Amino acid sequence: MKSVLVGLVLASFIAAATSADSLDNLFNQANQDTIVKTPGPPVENPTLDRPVFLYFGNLQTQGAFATGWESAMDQSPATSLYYYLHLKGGIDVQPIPQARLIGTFSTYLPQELDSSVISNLQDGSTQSVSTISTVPSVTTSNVLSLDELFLDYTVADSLVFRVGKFVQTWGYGHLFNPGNIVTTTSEGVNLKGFVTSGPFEITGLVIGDSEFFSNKTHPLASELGYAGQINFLSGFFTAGLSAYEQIKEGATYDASIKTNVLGTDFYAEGLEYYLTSLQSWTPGALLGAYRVLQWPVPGKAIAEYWINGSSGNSADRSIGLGFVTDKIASLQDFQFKVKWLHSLYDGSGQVVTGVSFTPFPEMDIGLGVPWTYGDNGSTYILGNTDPESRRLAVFLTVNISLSFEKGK
Amino acid sequence: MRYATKPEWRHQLKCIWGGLLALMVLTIPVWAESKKDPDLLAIDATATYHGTDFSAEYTVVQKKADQGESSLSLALFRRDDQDKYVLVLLKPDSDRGKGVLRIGESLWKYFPDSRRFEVTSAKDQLQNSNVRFSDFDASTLADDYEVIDRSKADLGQFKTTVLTLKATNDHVTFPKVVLWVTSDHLVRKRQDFSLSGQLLRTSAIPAYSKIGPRAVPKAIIILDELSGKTVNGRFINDRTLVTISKPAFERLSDLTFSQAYLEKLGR
Repeated sequence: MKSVLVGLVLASFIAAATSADSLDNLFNQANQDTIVKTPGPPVENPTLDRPVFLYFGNLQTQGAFATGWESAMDQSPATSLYYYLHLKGGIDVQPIPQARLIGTFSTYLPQELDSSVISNLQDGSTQSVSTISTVPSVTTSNVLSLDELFLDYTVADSLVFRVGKFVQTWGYGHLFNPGNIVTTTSEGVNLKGFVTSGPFEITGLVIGDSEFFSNKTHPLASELGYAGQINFLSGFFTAGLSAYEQIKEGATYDASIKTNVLGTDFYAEGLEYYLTSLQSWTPGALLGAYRVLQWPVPGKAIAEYWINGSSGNSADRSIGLGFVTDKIASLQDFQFKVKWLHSLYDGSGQVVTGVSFTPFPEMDIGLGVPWTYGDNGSTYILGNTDPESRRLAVFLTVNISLSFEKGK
Repeated sequence: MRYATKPEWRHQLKCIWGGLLALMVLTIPVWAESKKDPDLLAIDATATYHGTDFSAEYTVVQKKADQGESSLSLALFRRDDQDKYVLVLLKPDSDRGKGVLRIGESLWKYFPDSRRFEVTSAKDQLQNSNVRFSDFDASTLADDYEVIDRSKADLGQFKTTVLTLKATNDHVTFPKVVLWVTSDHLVRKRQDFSLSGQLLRTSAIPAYSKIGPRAVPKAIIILDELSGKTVNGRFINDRTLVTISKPAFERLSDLTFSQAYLEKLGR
């Protein structure tokens, strides 16, 4: 009863505390400290304080108008109108504290929509700049696709297993991420184990991608992919070693370190690739810097240099720069973004500038201008996801997203 | 008298240097400890929880003069012996399960959508509020500051000592801090300044829960001195109310302070 009264008194004073002077009025009451003789149990694990069965969904609809030129600007611009509906749903079941099953599925309408259109809407407008990270790939060939289905099981509160179909992302890069050496885990059935020991975190991964197997009904253990990672976490730096091997694909080894100097994160990754198809070793590397800025506007800036050895050619080098503002409340939740990727190997590149506006929590309006340059057949010209192969385009997108979650 | 031969002389020199080095290593912590201000050490002792883990539920209500009120709640799991903590969002429901792991100066954030971690420095603010991640740290005032001025002042009903602190390193979020401290070594009011002397935040802690030798604030009210709005000729500061409930000091599993724990919570 006493604590309730204390809380009410505090709340009323706090509501009135609008300046430093009124803050001092909080201390005009007698000392309200309380002595707790028997403290309660720890805060409950947030995953336990929830219904056993949860189901959730997200309905997203996006429309876009795009116009632009494939090559010379004296031609008529190629103009397109795109729209699609994306329904995503799933279940989240935790029958016992140690086990949790999560499954997500999705479908796109219209079904004939090419996945490159969707990725271009995301890349060309604003999303790739806003997140500056991997946009999960989408599949439109199936009526209903199973995105993820996995079971988490914790043994003795120290060892965690995850088994099923799930996405695993490693690596530090924001614009390029060569450290993500296990991208294939989005397909097939995988098994992951995790254990922590002092400052070390150790992860083991067995990848059962069906594409690996010569006989899909009788896969061999030697055909599985195997990956492992050891991270050393400290307050001053993080260091890690990771490795991936699969008999058909080859092997990748990654050593990484990340630290913060005067408010800027610096990270470096050294990679070594063995490509089975080329029977040779190729080095690769990533150097990057990331800084949270407060001036001229609050935002994040990224710079990266990448030696791409994954194709067997370590002369393939790129630089990337990115800047994204935080949502500027005084400008009604506007967000500005710019990203520049440039290949030092063949001179091609892409610049994406964009602005997004969030008039309501469920709605996002974006204006993006992607410009792709370079010779025909160069890296970024080949990688241009615009379905009309526009080199310079303007995308106007409207995105509406509604989510729900219910539990029993 | 026998003079040392050349190899013996070298060996003796090595021993002398080794002994001096060992003495330096052994005395540096004692010397450094003796340089620390006793008042700051006493404040740290009440607000730092060694020998056990700390957990509590925090509710953060942000009141912005021009945008109304927003709130969130989170669970804090802290292990001061290893300078680490984990924050997990409980509300709003749309962000439930998102969390961060902090070890020293580094902060790991997990993004369930892309299934990846980002590591960054820990001077960021929490969910667009004026609460900083450093506000959840163990108190290390004695390590990070020196007292440059000391006086007595009444703060409402409280008799306090006012300590003006100057940072001794550039890792801290605020280079200058003023504290109002009661005789039980509890900070009741705090002002944070920039390097240029600009007042940035004023915080008040009107009441504590005392659990044995340890103390946990019941509520913290933070005024943002730079942002707000003038209403009817009066400047109303943006402010944040942090209430702390369910404080507990039981040992937690090592897994709680790991990336896998955050990954497990996300969907």
